[in-house]
Amino acid sequence: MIEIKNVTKKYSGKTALDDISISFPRGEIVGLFGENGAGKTTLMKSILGFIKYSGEITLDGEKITNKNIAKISFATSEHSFFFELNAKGHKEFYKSHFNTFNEKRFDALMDFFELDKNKKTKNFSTGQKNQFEVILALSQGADYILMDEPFAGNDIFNREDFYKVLSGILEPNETVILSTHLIEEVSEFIGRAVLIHGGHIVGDKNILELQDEGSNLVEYIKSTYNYHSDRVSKAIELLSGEEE
Amino acid sequence: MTDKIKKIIPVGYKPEKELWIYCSVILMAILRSLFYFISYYSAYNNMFHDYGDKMVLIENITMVDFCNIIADGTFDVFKVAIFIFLAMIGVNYGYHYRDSKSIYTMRRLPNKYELHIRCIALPLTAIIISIILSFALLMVFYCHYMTVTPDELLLPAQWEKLWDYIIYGGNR
Repeated sequence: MIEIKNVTKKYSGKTALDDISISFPRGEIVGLFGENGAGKTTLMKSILGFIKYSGEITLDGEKITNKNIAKISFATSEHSFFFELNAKGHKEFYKSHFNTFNEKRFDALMDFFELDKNKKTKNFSTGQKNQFEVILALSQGADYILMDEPFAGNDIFNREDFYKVLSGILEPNETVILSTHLIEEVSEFIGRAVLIHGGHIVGDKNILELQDEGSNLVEYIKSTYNYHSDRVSKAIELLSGEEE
Repeated sequence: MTDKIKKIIPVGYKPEKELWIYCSVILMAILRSLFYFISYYSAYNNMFHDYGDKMVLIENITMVDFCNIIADGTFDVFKVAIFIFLAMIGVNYGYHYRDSKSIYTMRRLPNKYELHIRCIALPLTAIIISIILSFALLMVFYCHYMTVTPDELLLPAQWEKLWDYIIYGGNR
């Protein structure tokens, strides 16, 4: 379990995370939602130890250090692979550094997405780069897979393929924390929705619970963020009134 | 050899290309230092009057100090090489932020020194080799100077003057 206790992160006076406490047990697929700058990426980077923060984050009861960091993998829209290296080279590198690297999964996903193993990753298209980034994160053999906007730039068919593959290959003990804006698309795929706003957790709901309540993810997010569905028509009315 | 080099350079760099860059810089530094012989024989010949068919030693003349001969830029390219290798450390770290953020992968590795090894090891090795080589060449040139220059033309305390030059840069 990843346990986050009273984590606060400030960037030159601005609070990105404000006393956040939340836990992610094994085997969950969690959707992390929030507007740009809500704190989703900061939360992930804090878990990975990329940034300094106050508070405590533990992984299966232990502080996250280089000894247990291999239990977490990370896919980001910024891409974290080596752009001068081909896919084959990445496979060798990951194999030599992560004992749990899942070679079979790597090969299967490379074949599924028809990515050229001998092509330098810098020569991939944006969509292919995203695919490759996620393939690496899924193949590392980590128990916790963090994904930060991994599909930015991929077309809808491609993304849908991914959700299907992901649902099919994940082991019961693998945890996925997926930060995305594609709410409707992932609603069928995730089991829990966590909403962040202004550095606070403003919502945390099990999708099954939502369904039992006769609601859905989109409705839940809109109500949590106080989204007024008539705001667009009001704005248009106001603007057209001004023009007249 | 290239497999070993591969482990101490940023992931994705070609070992052959890296070796070529580092060896070329060191080789240029060595070649430039060999200009010492030109400086030496130029200083040596300046002690003689040239009458075409014969050379006559100028009266009461002495050989230029060894440290003044090497001060003629003999080891300047070694200094530049060391500066380049130091800059390479920065370039290697920078690689992990360019185009993609491979720094995220490097910082997630179980071996926390992997990033630093791959960024520092080869430039540092090149710096050490440059220092050792330049010192070895300095000794070779010094031995040449002391052996070839006739004793009666040598000024005293060459060794002390050399160390003064190395430590104080000839400013004392």
